Amino acid sequence: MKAAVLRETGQPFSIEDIEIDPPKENEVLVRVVASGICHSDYSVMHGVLRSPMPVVLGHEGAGIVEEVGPGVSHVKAGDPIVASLTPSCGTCPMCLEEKPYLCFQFSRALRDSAMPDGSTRLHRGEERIHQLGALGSFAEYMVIPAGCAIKVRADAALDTVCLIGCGVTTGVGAALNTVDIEPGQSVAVIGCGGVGLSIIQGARIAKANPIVAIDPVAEKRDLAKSMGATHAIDPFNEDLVKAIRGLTGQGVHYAFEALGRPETIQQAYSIVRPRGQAIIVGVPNLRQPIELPFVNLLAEKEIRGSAYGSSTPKRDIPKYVDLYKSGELMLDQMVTKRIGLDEINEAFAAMGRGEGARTVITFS
Amino acid sequence: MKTKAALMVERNHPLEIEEIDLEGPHENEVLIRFVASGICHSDLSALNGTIASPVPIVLGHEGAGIVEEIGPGVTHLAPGDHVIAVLTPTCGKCPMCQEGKPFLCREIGRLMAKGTMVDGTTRFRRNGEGVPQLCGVGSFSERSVIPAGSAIKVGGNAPLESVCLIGCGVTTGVGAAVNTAEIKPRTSVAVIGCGGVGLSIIQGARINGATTIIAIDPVAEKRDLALRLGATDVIDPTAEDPIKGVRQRSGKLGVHYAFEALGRIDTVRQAWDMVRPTGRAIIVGVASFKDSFPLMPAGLLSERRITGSAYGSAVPARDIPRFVSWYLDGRLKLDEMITKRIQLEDVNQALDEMTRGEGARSVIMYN
Repeated sequence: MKAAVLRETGQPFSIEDIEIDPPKENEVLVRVVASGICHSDYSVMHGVLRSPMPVVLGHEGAGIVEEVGPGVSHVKAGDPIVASLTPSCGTCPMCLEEKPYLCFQFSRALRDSAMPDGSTRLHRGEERIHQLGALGSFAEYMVIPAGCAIKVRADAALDTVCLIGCGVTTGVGAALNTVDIEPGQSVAVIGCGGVGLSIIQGARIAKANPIVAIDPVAEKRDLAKSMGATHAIDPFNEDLVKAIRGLTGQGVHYAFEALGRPETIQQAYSIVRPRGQAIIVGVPNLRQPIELPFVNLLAEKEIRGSAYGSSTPKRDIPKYVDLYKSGELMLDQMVTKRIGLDEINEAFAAMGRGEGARTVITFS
Repeated sequence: MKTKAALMVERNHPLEIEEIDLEGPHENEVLIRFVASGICHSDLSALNGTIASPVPIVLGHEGAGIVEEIGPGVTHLAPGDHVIAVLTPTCGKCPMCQEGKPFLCREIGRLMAKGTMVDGTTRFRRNGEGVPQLCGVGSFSERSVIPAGSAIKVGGNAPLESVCLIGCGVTTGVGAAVNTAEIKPRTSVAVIGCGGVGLSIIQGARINGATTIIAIDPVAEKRDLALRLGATDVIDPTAEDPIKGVRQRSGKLGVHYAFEALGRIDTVRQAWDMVRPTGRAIIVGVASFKDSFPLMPAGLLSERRITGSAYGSAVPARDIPRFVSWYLDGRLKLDEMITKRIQLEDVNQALDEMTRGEGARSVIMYN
């Protein structure tokens, strides 16, 4: 099958013909219909997030089940699915606490770019090829842990709802699950890519007001406003802290950071009101400590992370598909363009330039 | 009138015990005759400059006493009432007071930084010059005038020489556990630093039903006290890596809540490293306002949280009587925390002991 393989950090993908093994126990073979390109793929490509190589990236996929391995009963061949990031193993301490977004297999899959047992189903001849997060949706097929295959309704357009696999669930869930926004509370969102726009939509669904979108790109600010932001700020043109104070008096109840950069994490913490919360949704470089002002602690300002939108995928993914079908969740507007796998390198270059919200790769 | 007071006249120098002048209460102020005052670590921080404060200043901010005179506009108190002095004047007008969060009252900052009354003036005078008072309290003095909102009435059956600790350290610690963290039953807790505040956090954790309470302190005497007040485990951080030690005692994952009660950057970082996924680090200790703390981002991916606790997120009118009742029914142990009772003249010796990390709490008694 055809797949985009990353062989070395910082290098472009090579489109290669590789082999895929059939699913083993508790695994599912999926024919990929569409895959979003997420910023975390970009971070792996550029070494900010680490992965063994060679690796097939892509972790925001949707497709049709082709074949199930032994022990799989919740999906069957022909079912449309969205791939969840977490296998939700059901047996680790965090799954037992009903926090599958912190499933031990999830972090292992991300670290090893392999299945929970440490092996991979991809190879080229003798050469073993890794699959990001035990997924690898930049390929025509993927074998994934059964817990990652979330069945969705048949009338859901897979080349759109694929976004729910990562960015949308991460963002909407951060607003609806990680924190408990009360109607009328104030929200700011730093970074208006796919995740940030999803946070804004979650905040709108939670009836936050105001919702302030912060992004230097005019096109993204406009998109943010069309999706629920009540105000937009260009942080390169305006003093962010002053602008937020002007809108809210004391700062916002919730400041979401969707970029994972030290300076924007510091900004998020600087614009919350006393007792407010800065929620870090972007994935930062894990090796770089972030310096934060002690005085913020005296005002009981909190800083916290949000992992995969604190989501329970089998509950939340079908719910978000329903919200999309009912028009409350705007996904079509988030897809900037749809491309073929051959155009993947150009799409990554555009992402590096900060263009557009989401590019989706479709497979015919 | 004249009052005997202990003043800082120069940073890092022993306090001077002097007779100074005290003016009567203005509008919304009360004159208190103190019966007792705890010596808190923040007094030491003011003395050594960790906390910015004017000089000279009357230190002491953990006092309890009897109302002698009320200023105009004061209706909730009358002469003869027993009161505990608190750190927030609960102005009632600022945004946080209006949201019911007087522990973040805008006036606290001014009272801390300037040591004045809410109107910006002072009631103490020395050689004709106004002298401020720490946190608007100034309980290292036989008498003081304080904002009426800072005086919380308690029942006549509460021994002021013990419940004075509730004015600062106990409310800060117990409140951090029961208000800020809202510790849930059957959870695990680690507390770094077992002085008056840390021991109060431990008691709050016990009262809320935490089942693993790990006390961390290098001083054996304090670890023993922690065990008597509710800790289930102790760690000597000079003998054992505290982060590993906490993980070993909390099912490998770390604790649900880690409290830092020292205000040191290295222990803030330890607290963050001790909590389990979705757990919370709660910083109760106060570092210099100019300091920054480093956050290791990996913890964000497992949804850890870090926040501060200001004066135990306390609503004094609600919490001070509640904590007094816990003392009276035996749940909250205060006498065990008091290392010794001293006279005002012995305050410098007590501050020296605190600098060396000895004992939990000394209480100044006024006759």
